[in-house]
Amino acid sequence: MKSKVIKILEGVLEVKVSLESSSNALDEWDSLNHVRIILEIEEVFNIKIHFNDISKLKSVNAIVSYLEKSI
Amino acid sequence: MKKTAFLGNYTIDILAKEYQKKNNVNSLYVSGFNQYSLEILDEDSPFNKYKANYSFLFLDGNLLIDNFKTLSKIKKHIDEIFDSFFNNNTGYLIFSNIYISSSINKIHFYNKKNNLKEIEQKINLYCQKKALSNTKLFIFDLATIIQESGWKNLHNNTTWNYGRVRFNKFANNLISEKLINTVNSIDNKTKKCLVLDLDNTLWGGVIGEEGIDGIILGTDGLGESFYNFQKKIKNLKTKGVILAICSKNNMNDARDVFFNHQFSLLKWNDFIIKKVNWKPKNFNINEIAAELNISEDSLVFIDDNPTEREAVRKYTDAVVPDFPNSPSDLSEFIDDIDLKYFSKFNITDEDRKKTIQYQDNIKRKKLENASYDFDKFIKDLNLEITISYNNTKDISRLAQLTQKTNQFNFTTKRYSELDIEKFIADKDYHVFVGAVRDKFGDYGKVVALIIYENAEGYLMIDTFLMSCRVVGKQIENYFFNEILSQLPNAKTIYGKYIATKKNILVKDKYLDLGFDLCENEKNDSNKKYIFDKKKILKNNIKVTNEK
Repeated sequence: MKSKVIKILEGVLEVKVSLESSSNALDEWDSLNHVRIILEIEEVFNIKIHFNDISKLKSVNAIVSYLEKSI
Repeated sequence: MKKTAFLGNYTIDILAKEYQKKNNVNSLYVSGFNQYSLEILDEDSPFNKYKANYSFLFLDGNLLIDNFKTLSKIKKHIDEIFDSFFNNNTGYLIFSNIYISSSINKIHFYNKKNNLKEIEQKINLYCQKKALSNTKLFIFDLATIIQESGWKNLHNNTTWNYGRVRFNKFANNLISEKLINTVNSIDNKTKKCLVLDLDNTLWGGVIGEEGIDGIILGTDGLGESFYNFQKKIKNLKTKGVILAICSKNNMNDARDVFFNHQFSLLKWNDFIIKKVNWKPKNFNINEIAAELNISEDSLVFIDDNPTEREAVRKYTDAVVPDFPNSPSDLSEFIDDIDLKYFSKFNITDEDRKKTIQYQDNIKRKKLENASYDFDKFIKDLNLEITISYNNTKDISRLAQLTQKTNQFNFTTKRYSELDIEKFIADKDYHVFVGAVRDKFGDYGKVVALIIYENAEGYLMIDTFLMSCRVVGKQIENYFFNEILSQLPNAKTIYGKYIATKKNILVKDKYLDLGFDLCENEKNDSNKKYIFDKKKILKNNIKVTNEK
């Protein structure tokens, strides 16, 4: 799961991503790329992410724990 | 370098990014969110200064209605946008047509008043009409893409609310691919002439073998595929595309279908040039281009036979698309050809007159065949012939071949399985059957020769035939040469040509094989040939004998 998420992020952001990466620390992780990440995750894990959750998923950790809860 | 710009009244950045990745675009301009009006209307805007070769404009239908309320105001807005675009830009504008989502409950019945659908259709029609009179304006048919794949499968409500991002990942993938197709079709130089094969292309089966009642063409079953294929080709002609025939066939057989088959929508006179002969097709393609006085690369050649396609691809500049495996796919196939090569035909009276103009101007030119290395072409086909001798396994196939083969058939003698069985058992008869394969596939047993020793000790060719599927590869020469080396050396061989309506193809073939015409047998429809010198050519292909 973790490696899958990192792979998605690296694909979108085109930079090296670690478990500690977050939107604040990475310039590439801007609002537009954030939506791209959300779309990728919805497609890869076949889930619908609630509107309120989108803005909370701004770090690798947050995404991973969200996915662990929802899948 | 091609410069590409994306503009829209919603967030099209993600789509633009996907397009850039897929199409290796190195110069991309994406206008800010909902900045399209300003960008296009202001002549000093960053967009107008960018000077894009291709500009994509995406307008969301629901937002347009929210902003402009009425159809007439939307039309006025579109007029302004288009006018300003073409005043400030020399590149192409690819305008995505409008789709208005409205839930099925609201519009369950079309007899209820449904203003939204009406507006959607009217806007799209309006833009489409503009594109017809503007060579730089293309309509990207997003509405049909959504219709095909379904709105629910493509859009994402959450990201729409979050940041006006309309489409999900699947949709971005799909739409960006279609955009690339569109740009490729714009880039393609528009072609002028569609050159068509006949058998198994405009109808199913072989007219020379099956006859007018035997070919597959009609309004049901598989015949409908060919019928619809003809219908769409006829539409291309109406649009101004020149049609030509390039077929290995007898002229009378070909004419018969176009004049007498009730379901042949295409008529003989729809074709400006008819190359119905047994010459290599690449020669015919050279001639068609020369006679029309257009460049070869403005011809599109359609043929079901991969060997013919290969020859035309190799020795001419014509465009040669692959042919679908199943006739059921012909309709989609010709739509694709239309989109790729003929999409920007402006339908003017001038175009409709084109057919007549070309007919008047056809120039007959004698062509040099020097650049054509036929031997090398044959060699590259990796032809293989396997010959079986007096083999009882061949009985039913050989009987079938004698029944069906009309064109490459010297004597057109029809035999039953029982007849063949007798030949094989008879020590004076020699029965040879050849199976052929090349790099395009296995054609099975397609060539045969039956020869017998008569009372005076001469060898008489009773039957020599070959399926028209493999005509034009010189298989008959290789086959005959191999058989010569197996027959008793000293004996003189006689061959006969009995003319029928269908076998003009082999009229002089015995001369080509090294025979001489018998002096006192020069009757035109019944010629006798003699072969008494061993003129065995070296076979440069693989001929083996079945054990």
